[in-house]
Amino acid sequence: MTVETVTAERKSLFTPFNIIAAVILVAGLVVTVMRFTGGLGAVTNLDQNNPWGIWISFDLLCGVALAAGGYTTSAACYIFGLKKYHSGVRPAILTAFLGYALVVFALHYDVGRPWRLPYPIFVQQGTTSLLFEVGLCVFLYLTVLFVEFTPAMFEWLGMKKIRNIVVKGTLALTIMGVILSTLHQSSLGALFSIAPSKLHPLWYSPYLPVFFFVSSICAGMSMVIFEGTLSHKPMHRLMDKEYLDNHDGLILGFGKATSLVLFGYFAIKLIGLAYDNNWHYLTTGWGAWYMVEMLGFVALPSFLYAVGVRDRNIPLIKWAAGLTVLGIVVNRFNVSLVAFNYFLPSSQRYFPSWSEITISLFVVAIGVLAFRFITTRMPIFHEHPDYKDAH
Amino acid sequence: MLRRTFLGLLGAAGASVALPRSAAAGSKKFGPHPDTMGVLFDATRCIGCRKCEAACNEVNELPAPDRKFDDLSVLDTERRTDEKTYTVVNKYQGMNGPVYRKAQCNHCLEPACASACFVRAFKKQPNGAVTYDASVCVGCRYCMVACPFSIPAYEYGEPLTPRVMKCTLCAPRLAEGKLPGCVERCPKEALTFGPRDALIEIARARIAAFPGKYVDHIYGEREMGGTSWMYISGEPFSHIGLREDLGTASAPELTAGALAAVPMVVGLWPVLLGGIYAVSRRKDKVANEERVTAVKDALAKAAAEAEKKLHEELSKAETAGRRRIEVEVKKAVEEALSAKDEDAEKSEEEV
Amino acid sequence: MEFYTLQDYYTFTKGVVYLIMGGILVGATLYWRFLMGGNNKDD
Ligand code: SF4
Ligand code: SF4
Repeated sequence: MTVETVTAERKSLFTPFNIIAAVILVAGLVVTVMRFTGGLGAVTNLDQNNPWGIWISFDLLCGVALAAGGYTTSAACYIFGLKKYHSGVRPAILTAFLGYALVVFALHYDVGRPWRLPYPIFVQQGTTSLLFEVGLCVFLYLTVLFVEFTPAMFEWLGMKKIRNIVVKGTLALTIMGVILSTLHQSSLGALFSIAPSKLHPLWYSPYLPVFFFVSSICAGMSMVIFEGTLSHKPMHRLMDKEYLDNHDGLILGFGKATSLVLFGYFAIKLIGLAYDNNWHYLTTGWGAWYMVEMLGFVALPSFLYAVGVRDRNIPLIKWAAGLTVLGIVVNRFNVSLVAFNYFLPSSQRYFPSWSEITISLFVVAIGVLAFRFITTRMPIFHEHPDYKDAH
Repeated sequence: MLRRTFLGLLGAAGASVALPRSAAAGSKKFGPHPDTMGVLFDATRCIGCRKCEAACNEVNELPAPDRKFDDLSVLDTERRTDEKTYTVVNKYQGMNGPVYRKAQCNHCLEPACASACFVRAFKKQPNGAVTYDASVCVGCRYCMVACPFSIPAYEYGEPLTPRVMKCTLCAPRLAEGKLPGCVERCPKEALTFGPRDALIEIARARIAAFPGKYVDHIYGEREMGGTSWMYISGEPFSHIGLREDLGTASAPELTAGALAAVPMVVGLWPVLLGGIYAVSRRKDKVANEERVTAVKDALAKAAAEAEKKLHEELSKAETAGRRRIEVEVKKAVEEALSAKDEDAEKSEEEV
Repeated sequence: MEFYTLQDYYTFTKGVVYLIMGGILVGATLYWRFLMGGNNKDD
């Protein structure tokens, strides 16, 4: 299969996909040079009032939330014992691993002295910082995800013994993954708990960590559905019967679960509103935007999921998944950009520069390419013939 | 907005753990260090001459400004601190003419920047200064997000060694026994340097002595847990660019709840997840056992049936065989009796 | 040890708690193996 794929790729080097990817990569490299020679000021629209831009909002906050599929899927399969989702675990773990690796990669652009990124862990620990907690967990979780991903690599390389040792630790790794994910997903929300005066009250809440954690579950599961849909067509030839047979079952199961969790998310957001007595803001412009987020990107997808599951309407579920993913992006942008510094005059607000957008696209493109490289070679969408029924 | 500490909602099993507000600090009080110094700014005295800005620029050896310090038209637009400027004076429209206010790091008693920094680059020194150590700074700029007064600035133009820049309360000069540059240069004594407690008393005395002149509030006495740099003014503070909606909770208190939930997750998640795993596996096992017994039963039943059938067949076959013999015998007898060869052959074929 | 700011106090206590958390994770794994191991057929 490997040989076939490689030749197939060689034949079609100038597909539209490859051309777009190449353009993005070249542009990204140009901006990379500019960033590391001219500084952040040369490529970003960041300023003294707006220290965080889309490299944090999109690459870090959205990246981490959307990579939550790794821990949700493996928890469903290995902890909650839903063995029928087994074929979905590997693609989800791979997506999560690449997602986190790219988050860390993107941070190298954003922080001033990227080679010091290990400092908070190894040199001087700022234990009162929520960012320390995020950094530590992301570092550990990236390691866990890598180990969880290695069996596929070892199977590809034919290293049976070490593969079997890693597989024995699946449960421990899964539990570790859920703990670390709970912590850093929620801490990403808690990052903003230190700045109540800068974040609009409709988005600031003492419950921010819980909001971020619960919404990350929705994001992760929706992303598994959404991403499965995306890779279905180009990767179809790599998918084995087990994957394809279980795929609709996985979509239905995850759709049902996401619908329920979204309902819970809506409920706790409502509680947050009441807890801080923020009702009066709902009639303002900010309130309208808040309602769009809550009704259009939380309540609506929850309902669409429910209808889709009841009618076994797979396309509808996929639409709901897309909407949920978009909703999470909207939420993370709202908290970190739109409603952050809401009190500043519009002339002092931030809007991303082209270079910033280029780097974000660059990072996504690298992710897609790496995903394609790995899935066409390693047993991700299919089981390795030597290890059938070995789970 | 209410800023209460986040109640940890640890909910998988519906169990919620309420976290007391700054639990660890519950019975403990952390006053400022007795040596904490500070500066009192009196907005009724400031004339907006920008001498303090010039002094700050000199003593901190900052790059020369775009427009000279004696160019007062700079005051027409509101400015903030940046990577080349630790302090700025802004002009505001007051009830009786212009009012000026100097802005710089307030040297909080519980600095948000220090609480936020994940490498502890900031430190509240016993003498009151909040200092910054560029040798560990990663450049994540979370301190800038956290500071409620929007003070720290970043060297965006530096590709590889950007620093966070902010007022140091002239900590190096204090160590030499000198006054902060700005305080020393101020021609109107709008800035008073001294022990923080003494400054609060001075401020109270001024407010008491001229009741109509001042707003009855010392800005910074309690804001965000209190600051070393404090302000008194004849104008409401929000009119001179100081936010009055910051509240009195300090930065460590704001994040205490979220931080307190972290170890709870580490302590309880293994129990919860391990429990769920054990239950689901037990269920699997029971289901599996049931299936196994069912299969066994079915097999046994099938075996019994098969045996029964075999027996029946056998006995049927036996009867059939016996009958056949009987028939043969009968035929033989008949044969013998009839003694007709052809008939015998025919009848044999018929059988 | 004397602390003059809540910030310093939390830095210290959280540091200790982080170390304990590491211990808990290791301990939980070992304890789980102890609990699930042994001679019980009915886990
Ligand atoms: S004013 Fe801002 S920079 Fe200065 S000590 Fe307070 S939080 Fe830190
Ligand atoms: S930019 Fe530097 S000083 Fe500021 S929080 Fe990050 S590491 Fe700390």
